[in-house]
Amino acid sequence: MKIKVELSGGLELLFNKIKTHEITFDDKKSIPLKDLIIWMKDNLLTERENLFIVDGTVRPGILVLINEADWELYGGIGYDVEDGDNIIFISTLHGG
Amino acid sequence: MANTSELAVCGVNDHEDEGNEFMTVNKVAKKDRHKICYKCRDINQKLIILFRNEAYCKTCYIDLIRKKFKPNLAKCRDASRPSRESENVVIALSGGTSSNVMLELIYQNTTNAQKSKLFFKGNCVYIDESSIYPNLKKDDIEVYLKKQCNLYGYPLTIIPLENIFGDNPENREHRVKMLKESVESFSSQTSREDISIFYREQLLRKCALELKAKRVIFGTSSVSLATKVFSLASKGRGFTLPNEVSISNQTEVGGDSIIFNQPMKEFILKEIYIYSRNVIGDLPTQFSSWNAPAKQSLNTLCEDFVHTLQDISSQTVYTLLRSADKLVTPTLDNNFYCSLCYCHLSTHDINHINSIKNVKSTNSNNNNNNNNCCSDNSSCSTTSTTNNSCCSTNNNNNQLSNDTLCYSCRILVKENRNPNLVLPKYIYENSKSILTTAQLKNEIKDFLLDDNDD
Repeated sequence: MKIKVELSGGLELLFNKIKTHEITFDDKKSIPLKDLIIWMKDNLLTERENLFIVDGTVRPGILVLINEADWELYGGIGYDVEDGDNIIFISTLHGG
Repeated sequence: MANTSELAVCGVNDHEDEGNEFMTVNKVAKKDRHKICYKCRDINQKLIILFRNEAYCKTCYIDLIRKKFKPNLAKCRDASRPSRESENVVIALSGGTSSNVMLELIYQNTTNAQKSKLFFKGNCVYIDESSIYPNLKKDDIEVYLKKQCNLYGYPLTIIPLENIFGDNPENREHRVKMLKESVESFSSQTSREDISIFYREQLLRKCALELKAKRVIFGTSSVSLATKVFSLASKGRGFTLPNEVSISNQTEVGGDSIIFNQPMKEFILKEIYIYSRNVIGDLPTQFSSWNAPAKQSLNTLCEDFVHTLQDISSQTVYTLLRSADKLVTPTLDNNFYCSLCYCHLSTHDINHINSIKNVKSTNSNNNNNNNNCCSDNSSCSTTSTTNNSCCSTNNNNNQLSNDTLCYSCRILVKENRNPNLVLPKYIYENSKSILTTAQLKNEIKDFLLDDNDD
């Protein structure tokens, strides 16, 4: 499966300043969003993981969109990411 | 991903008296309502947001936000003006998502409105704080704001924060140095953030007066206001809390009335960001490095706390703001305001000022007595010849009486570590004006007629 992860609102600064990441999982047809976040922490995050992940989920104040839609429409952290999905993480912290 | 067209909306009314069956159907109905747009009910429309527990498609959501914003914007108008007469307002832009969305919403409800247009003459103002926040991507923000303001047809004014010490272009470097000294002399990051906010607000106030506008409109979201409820209370600013989190906060200084409006009060950040993504598109990143861990200051800590609570219960922000709306600041005397932050002084503070017999005998802030504003004399000699000079009010006028500060600002000023600190001129002028007014009133109070006397 191949998915796209977008980071914005300053969050990309924690991921080596790269805004878009194309991720391929050869051995999977879907992956729980919770596991994807852990995978991102282990493989993409370059600094201060506590600014992205807290208690196994994204830090409060980080907005998650699944294919441009609010993740709450899809069950939030319980969503299973599928092939072709676009997961967007936007930091709403300290902006305005 | 679930296919929206596979699910239909269930009517629950037909099952009201069927006990357990009703419960099951009701659960299904609740689940299904997140699969179809609450407004248009078109199963082919892709949903983009769960807004106050109802799902909306893109078109309906954009329409909803514009309609929800309109009554709040209408509250930012002077009710005594004829409805078709344009009111001059300052639109404060920070370069962030909330203020950019506000700008777009103002445009949609004024210039671009097909019907029931609101009449505003907007002047956008951006306060450039790059001199104290070096990682602020000033150039990117300015280019973007110029483009947006051009698009919407609003003039943009960019004011550097160092202009709080005057606007003479010849001594810019000196003013930047003074601003840095002024901010960095406070021991805690909370105080540094607060003092920069006061300076920013003062520049906006001054700019509004120059533009003959009586209002400054901010893009403060409900999450930021809920954060303020906690942070203001924690900093001893409880007295002014109801004013600062209300949609309209009026300050009257020396006969000039300026109202700060916050029409984005209804919207949480999720709603603002999703609207922005669907209507405005990508915004430039404001900072070149992540600069704010949660424990950096009281303000960021409170913000993190509100986000955590909001994550646990989506009603947190609304509940906090509804509670704050029930608070009322007592009726106040407009002659008495804090010299630094312009909030109203409490009755206790006013009584104390009124009891002062002689202005000269007041306890002045020891850190600010007749200090030279410039640490190096060469710089001072170049600036003292102009009216805008930081030195123009030196000597007898550079006295800040702690009596003319609110409780919280008194604590803030105590944190100053620099014995040679000089604050912007307006603070000393305010302090002097308040004390002089109080003393003059004291001197003539025996000759004043009571309103109730015939």
